[in-house]
Amino acid sequence: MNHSEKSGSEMELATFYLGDACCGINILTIQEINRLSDITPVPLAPDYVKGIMNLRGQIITVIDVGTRLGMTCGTDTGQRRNIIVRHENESIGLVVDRIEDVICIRTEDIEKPPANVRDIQERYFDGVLKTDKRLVSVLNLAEVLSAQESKH
Amino acid sequence: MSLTSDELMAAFVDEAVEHLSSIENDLLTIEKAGNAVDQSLVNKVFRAAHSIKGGAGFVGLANIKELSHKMETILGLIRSGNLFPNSEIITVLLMASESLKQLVGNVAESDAMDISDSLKALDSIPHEPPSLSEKTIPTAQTLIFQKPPAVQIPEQARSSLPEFTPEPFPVSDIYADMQIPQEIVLKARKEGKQVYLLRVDPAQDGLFRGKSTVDIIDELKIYGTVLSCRSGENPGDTSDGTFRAEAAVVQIVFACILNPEDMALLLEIDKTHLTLIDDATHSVHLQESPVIQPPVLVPPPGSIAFADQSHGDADKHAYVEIVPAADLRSPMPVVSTSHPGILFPSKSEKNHPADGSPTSIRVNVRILDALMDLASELVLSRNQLLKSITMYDHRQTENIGKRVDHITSDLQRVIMLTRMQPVGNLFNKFPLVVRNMARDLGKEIAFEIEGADVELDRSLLEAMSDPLTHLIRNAVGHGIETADVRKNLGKPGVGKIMVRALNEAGQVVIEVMDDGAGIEPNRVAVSAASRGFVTEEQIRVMSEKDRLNLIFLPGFSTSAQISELSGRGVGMDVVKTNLDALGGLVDIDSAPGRGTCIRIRLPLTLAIIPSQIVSAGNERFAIPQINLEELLRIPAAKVKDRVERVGSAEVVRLRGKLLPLVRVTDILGIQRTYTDLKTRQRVVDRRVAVADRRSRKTSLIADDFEIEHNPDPLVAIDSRPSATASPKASDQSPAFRAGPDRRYRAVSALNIAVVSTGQIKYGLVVDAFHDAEEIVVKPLGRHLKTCRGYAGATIMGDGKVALILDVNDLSEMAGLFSMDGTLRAGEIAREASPVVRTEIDPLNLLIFRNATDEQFAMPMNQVLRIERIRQCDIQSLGGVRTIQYRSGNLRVFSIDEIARVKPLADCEHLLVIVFMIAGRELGVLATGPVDSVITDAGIDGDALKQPGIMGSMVLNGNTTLLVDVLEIVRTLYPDWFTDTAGAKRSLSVNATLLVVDDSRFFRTQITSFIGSEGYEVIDAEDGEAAWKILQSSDRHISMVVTDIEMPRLNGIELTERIRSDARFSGLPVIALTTLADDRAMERAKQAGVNEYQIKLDKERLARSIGALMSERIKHAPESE
Repeated sequence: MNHSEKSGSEMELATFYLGDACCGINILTIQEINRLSDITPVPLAPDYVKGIMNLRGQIITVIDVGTRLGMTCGTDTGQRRNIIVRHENESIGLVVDRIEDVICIRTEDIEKPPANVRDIQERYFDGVLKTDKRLVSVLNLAEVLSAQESKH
Repeated sequence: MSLTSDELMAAFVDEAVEHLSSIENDLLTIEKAGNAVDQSLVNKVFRAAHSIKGGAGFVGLANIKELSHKMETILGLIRSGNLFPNSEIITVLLMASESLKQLVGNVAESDAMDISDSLKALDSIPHEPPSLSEKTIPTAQTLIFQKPPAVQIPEQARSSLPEFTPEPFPVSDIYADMQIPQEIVLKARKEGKQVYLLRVDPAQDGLFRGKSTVDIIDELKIYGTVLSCRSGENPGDTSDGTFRAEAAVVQIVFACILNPEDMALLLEIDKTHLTLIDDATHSVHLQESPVIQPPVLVPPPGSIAFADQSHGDADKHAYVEIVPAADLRSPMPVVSTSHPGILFPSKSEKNHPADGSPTSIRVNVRILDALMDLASELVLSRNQLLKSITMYDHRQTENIGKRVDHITSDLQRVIMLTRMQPVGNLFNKFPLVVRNMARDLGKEIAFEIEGADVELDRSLLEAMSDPLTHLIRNAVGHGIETADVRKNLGKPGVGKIMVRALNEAGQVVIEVMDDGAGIEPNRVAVSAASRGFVTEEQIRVMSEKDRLNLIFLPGFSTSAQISELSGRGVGMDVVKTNLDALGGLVDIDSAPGRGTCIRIRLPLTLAIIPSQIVSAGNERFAIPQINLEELLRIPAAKVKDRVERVGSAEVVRLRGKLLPLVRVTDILGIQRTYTDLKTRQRVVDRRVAVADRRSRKTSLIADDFEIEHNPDPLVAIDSRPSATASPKASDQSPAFRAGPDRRYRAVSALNIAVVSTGQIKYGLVVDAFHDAEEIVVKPLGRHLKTCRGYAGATIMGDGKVALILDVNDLSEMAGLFSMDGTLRAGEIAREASPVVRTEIDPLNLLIFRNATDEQFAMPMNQVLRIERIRQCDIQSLGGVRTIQYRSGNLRVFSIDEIARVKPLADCEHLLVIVFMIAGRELGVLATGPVDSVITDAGIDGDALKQPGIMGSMVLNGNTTLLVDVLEIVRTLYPDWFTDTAGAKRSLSVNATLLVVDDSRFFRTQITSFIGSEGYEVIDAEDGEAAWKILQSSDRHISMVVTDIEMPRLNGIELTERIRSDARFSGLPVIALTTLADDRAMERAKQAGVNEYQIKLDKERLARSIGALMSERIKHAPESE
């Protein structure tokens, strides 16, 4: 969805950490951010599915974004959060290691992912963004949440 | 099109679908009726086509409009008697309605669809006489009804049609009164609509009788656009007094695509009240009107002018002007408001997603009212609850809690009702399917529907459409033979197919039956074997039913061979897969040459299902009750005896049969756990298989331990030492193992949920059982769609999520089918082994105690369930002891009330063994441990015989008294049996029964029991002896009651001999056995046994003797 917005409009990016990497997603896709509550693991599910949980009477799938992106996860420092996003009429939880702040960016500032991003990861990223402090990888939510298995 | 709001479109589709659903069946009825055409039915179909046409025109769907219009034309011809509805015409109409259905099913693209075939077919029907067909084509010029010349004056109109219009309609006056901008008329005409002036008298006109102006306008809007409206007395009508007395006449300028005749028919008004406005009249009158009558240009106070928004662009000009009648009875003052939008809210602003699923359903007002009541009650209870909580009134809180519980379950039930729809909605499409297919195939088929009013959840109903259609197509295509073949076979030429729905035990059963060729189980089996699904060996040991069931094997029907099978095996696997997804079970029954019956068992709803909650690993899972047959807990000490390994698979012996075991933990790849009895925590279990067993020594320790710690008295303790097995090599240190090692204790008990997929029964091994609960099924997200083994998820009482297990998936994942075959093979092989087993009748008994040191037993098949109660739960009223059981009271008694045995142990917790006798439920008080045993131990009918005790036997080293339940109940409640006994005596005059049993105990039991029923009894010790008696006896034997397993000549062979001898052709034979075994039962039935009864279930035996006797007596006068 971010592809189409590269015309130069502003957008707000909610940023979070997966291990050491700072990632961001369009804040408009976020429904709410919760602490990690009881997650029921689903045996035989794809490895990136952390489990399912009860979100006010609705059962939602919780995705471990780190595993999905093939990243090494940081240790749980009690700061893990569950970002509930609304995508294709379904609420899905994304487990991230730590929530950072919301930054306001211009979409034209998003650059192509660096060449050394590995193949698997490439499709999950729309690009990277340089801020004063750090590099933010902008996630392509549609790819991250696609139910297709990642091609290796 | 662009003017149409989605909501209107949806309303049109809803209605069109409704009309279409009835059209087909009505057409079929018309066809069947032939000459005797039911005019009202034709009218109905005509109107249906008509409404669709009207609606389609309104929402701007050209294709639908055209097609329905052509249909309507033909129907009009039929209606007027100018066309005979022969089979060809009906076929064309059916085809048209089918394509209409497709169009309506996808309105968005309907205009792009090709309907030329249907149109051509419709056009090919000769339109005669030409004048009539012309009339039904709406061309403005030819069809203007009573087109008044521009200068026509009221007098002329009046004189031309005096009989229809007592108060002729002064056309020009109205034009003058009503302001219709010309562009609106032109625009409407451009859209292919006709503009009418409609004069409705709510006091007289049919469809609008007694309706308010607003209602009339609303109704008209279904068919077209209301351009202008005027209600109230005609200012010029002062001459006629009747108008003033009646409700106001409403005058409406109305645009729609219908021609005048149809309009009149549709609205059930007299044609004279309808005037078509063409361009000429319109303009002339507008010009001339001031001359004849001054127009009311300014509405009087209280009148309302507002835009009809559904008309889009024309809104600016179109308005409805409602002038309240002088009479205050007029409904209009109610809406005297400056916000007319309230009356006709704008619909075009709302945007509804136009997805395929229906967005609205019809709900009975009664149900809505009930929901409202419940909602208000809930609010009330909430208020009370809040109050009692703030007041810390615990008692009150508890009471209200109960109330809320009730209301919630009521609410749930009623809401479910709104989802229920009669299966007739689905069934009604089948007559057409059958008819068309039968026509194509040249077969004659009578199709019947039964139980169309049985209700089912709408989602289930929709999902059942494909599988059922398939089954019916199969029945027509492969089941029913052609008339010639049928006649050669001696069957009636017309084949019969029946679809039937019925409610059974909280589920809905749908049966598809035919009297066609049936399916040959052997051919199915051979085909399955040739395709490698099963081995020849497996087939050899399969029962007929098992062979038939092979057609449900996934991928089975893709075979070319099977499609050539006479019968109905095609695509059954697809049907089964569909049903699995719905949580339904399918069963097939077929007699080659006689027909097939397919039974589908469905839950009432998919949304809420009763389930058993179990746990495996650290998680809870739900097993739908529909799949659950029973729960089995094998105590640690018995695991060794009951669980065996066949290859790598584990099986358990259950009532003499082998049940394959599937471990949930293994299938799902999660770690097993068990509850450590000391710490009460779940601990990871490291054993590889149950069959890794303990030594004799530790086994005994385990038993002791279990007695001490087992909290569940239902679990029996088997004190027999288990067979010696060397301790399993493990990572445990020897020293540790020598001690009271936790691995060898009660924790090793196996919890097995015996589940059935309809075809396969297997045991699902779980770590622990929890409660049975009604759960709300929620779907899993899209990431888990590919994940097998789950039917969804549910939220538990504590807010956590539990997965619902899919028993079918699990069995497939475990590769169960082939294993089942292998096991059966093994089983049969064992049975056929040279060991003579025929004389041993295993008995399935329930063991319990009364006093702690006396063991009793009763036949397991009489037991309904076992309840655990507290002693204080027993109420003694008027000398009768009862307990609360389900919603009523259950009478309970203890054995010592009749038999001279030690009194019931005085302990806090008691067990109640519930059984059914004489049509009533009763409970025997008992103490644990209880257990189910299958034994072949001999019964001693003498030594310990006493009232209430049939005899004794030695079980597990304990002398066990066999309780005679019937005798006890007869002694306690003699009045329960008076009716049946009286009936029997009257029937049993001169009746002599022959009882054949090799066991002396049973022979005496049955003989004396039957004797006490008032029959004469002769007994024989085996089949050979019985045969001799039958042949030699000068006494007339009325019935034979025989054991199955006997030396020399067994019961089956005896029955076969009886059946093959003409002298005994009508002689009823009741077979007795100690175990209800399907296969044995089948064998017995084949041999010609009339009834199959369980020994020791005297009551049922008596009933069945009585029934057969009365039947025989009924027929006796004819045969003798």
